[in-house]
Amino acid sequence: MLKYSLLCLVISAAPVTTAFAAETQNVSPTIVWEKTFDDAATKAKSAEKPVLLDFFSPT
Amino acid sequence: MTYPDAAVADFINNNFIPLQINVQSGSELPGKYRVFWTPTILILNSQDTEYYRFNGFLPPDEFIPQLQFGLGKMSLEMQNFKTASSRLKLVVDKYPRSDIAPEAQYWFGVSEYRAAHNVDALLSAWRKIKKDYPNSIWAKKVSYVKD
Repeated sequence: MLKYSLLCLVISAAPVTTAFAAETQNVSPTIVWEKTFDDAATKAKSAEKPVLLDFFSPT
Repeated sequence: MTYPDAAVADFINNNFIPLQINVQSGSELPGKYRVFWTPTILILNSQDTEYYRFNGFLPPDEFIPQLQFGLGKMSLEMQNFKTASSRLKLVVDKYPRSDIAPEAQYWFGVSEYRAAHNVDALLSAWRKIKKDYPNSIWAKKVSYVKD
């Protein structure tokens, strides 16, 4: 009975853990763009990093 | 596309504060930085001084070396030669087949020279351009250096 219960637990948990693992693996970094130079400059000064400014045209 | 690439996003997040401006948004920044084509990418300090720029789409394997090179040029112009040398050498060592590598090697030599007025370091760096990148314009710029 105990063996049967453990088997059921493993089988029922498997899809959850598999889904969690898949979700974790698919997380890729994204770029959070600032929208104004003032905001970017404030963060750049605080973080002691340069600003990467990308001028784009909407497609 | 370049920005969705994980390595590109990581590099930008680790090294920059990213700012994106739509040139059709009415922002004054395109005029201020004389932007006439997109994409135009600039590296600025927090006081809005421009240190490096390039235009046009690049795939990730060229985009990241360009950004690394831009960081090196920024350090060089700020006369922080130790950091400049480190960043420029990294371009050549990590991305030796990238299109920016010969130029990085050129400025690496300049940085080494400016750091300690070491002529041998300059000539050694430049000879490496002739040897490793003989068909680049940077090899022509140092073609007068004896092997």
